[in-house]
Amino acid sequence: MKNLVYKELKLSINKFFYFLPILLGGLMFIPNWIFMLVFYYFFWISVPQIYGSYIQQGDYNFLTILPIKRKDIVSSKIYALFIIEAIHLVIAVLFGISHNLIYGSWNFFFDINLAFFGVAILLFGVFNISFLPAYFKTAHFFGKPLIYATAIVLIYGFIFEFGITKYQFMRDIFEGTLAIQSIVFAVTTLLGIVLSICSLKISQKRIQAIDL
Amino acid sequence: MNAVEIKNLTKKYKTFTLNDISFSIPKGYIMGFIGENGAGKTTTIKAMLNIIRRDHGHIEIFNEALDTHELNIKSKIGYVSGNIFYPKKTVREVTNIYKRFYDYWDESIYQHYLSEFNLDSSKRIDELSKGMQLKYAITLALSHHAELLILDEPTSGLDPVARDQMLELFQTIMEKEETTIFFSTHITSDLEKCADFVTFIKDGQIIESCTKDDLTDKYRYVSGTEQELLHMKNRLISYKKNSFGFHGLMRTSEVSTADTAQIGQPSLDDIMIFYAFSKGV
Repeated sequence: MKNLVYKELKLSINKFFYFLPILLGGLMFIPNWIFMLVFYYFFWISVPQIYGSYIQQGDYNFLTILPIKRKDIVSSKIYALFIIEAIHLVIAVLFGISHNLIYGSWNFFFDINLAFFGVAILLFGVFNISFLPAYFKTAHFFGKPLIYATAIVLIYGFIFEFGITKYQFMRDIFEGTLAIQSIVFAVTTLLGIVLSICSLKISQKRIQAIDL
Repeated sequence: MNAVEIKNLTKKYKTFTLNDISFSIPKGYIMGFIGENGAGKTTTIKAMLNIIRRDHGHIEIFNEALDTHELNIKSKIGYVSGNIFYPKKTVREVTNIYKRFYDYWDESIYQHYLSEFNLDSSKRIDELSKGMQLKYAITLALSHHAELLILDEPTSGLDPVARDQMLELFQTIMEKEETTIFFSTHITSDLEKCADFVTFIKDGQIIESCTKDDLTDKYRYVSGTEQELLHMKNRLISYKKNSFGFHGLMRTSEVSTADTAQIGQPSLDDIMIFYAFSKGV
């Protein structure tokens, strides 16, 4: 498994996608913005490029000659994706703190706060469960799964960003005291992790049945 | 002793079925796997390696069931699919990842074949010619002491000189490393040069699996007049008419002493061609 993850990070995924979170993190310096969009660029740029390159580079051609389990093919690809998602989150936290130090934390849309990052973790969880099991039905076609997953996370993001600007109770929950934010962070993070683990388990099952 | 035993392998697609095929590959020999395009060669190889899921059948490699000992078996196999991977990466980059997966990686053998094949490890994969890409894939397979080399159409797309070199290489590998080699091809002259055994597949069914000499002994190439055709028609696997009469293929066991047509030994090409014309298997 360690070797497969190393292969994903070193051979299959272009180094550009490890630096992209830094470039995208810079978007957090825009004052008064929908900061959740920073993560959407990952879905719109990195994911199609990475999954498209698996086909272009003959990644599965290489995998089929190796003495490895099908389950581990899925795990390595998903762990690599989790790693890049984590890089996006960590960089966003750093840029988010910098944003709040420069501009203050108030935002017309969702503030950059603890609850925001919990919701962002759940955003990745929702994306993972929508995209990965659908992709590993074929381990080849990523277009439709990505369109569906992107539509789902757009609705998800809209609910939070629109709700917070429109309804005071949502602002009270997601931009309330640190204690409330901590609860939101804990719940959304837990949900995000559970969804991501489910996406891994379902994908591992689905690849067993297909022809590579 | 057999390196590979395949029993009742079946894989159904909407428009093609690999139908209950069984054959074995004797250890330490070269077996050619022939059949026209679309006969099921690649499907068989992929099913043998669990790359595609089979519907039925049992596969044993080195006396171990593939389903229960897949990793152990695959670590002893060198599979050369002919498909390119990581075209923009260098030979060195790919090798550095590849060798991590093999406990018995032998760097000295790898370096030996790199220099023997004049492979420059700083070159990108897509900078190598097709022949060189194939040599690189074989180098990778040999460097972890593969006991079984499975090559899917390794010679297609190579010029005659490169093809000849490749076939000589197969013989050298088999003799020096005692490796079993199973390679598919639709170029039957490849087999004339180096194969000990031949398995012939048509429309997803195995027609023959035996030694090369046995295969050509089992059939007879027949040519004669239209009058002679009338007497032999039912016994012919298939035939073609021409301005002089006909020529066709029949089983040696079907030859009668009363036959007046010219009867001789067919080439592997003849067997493949006339089977291609036959209706059904």
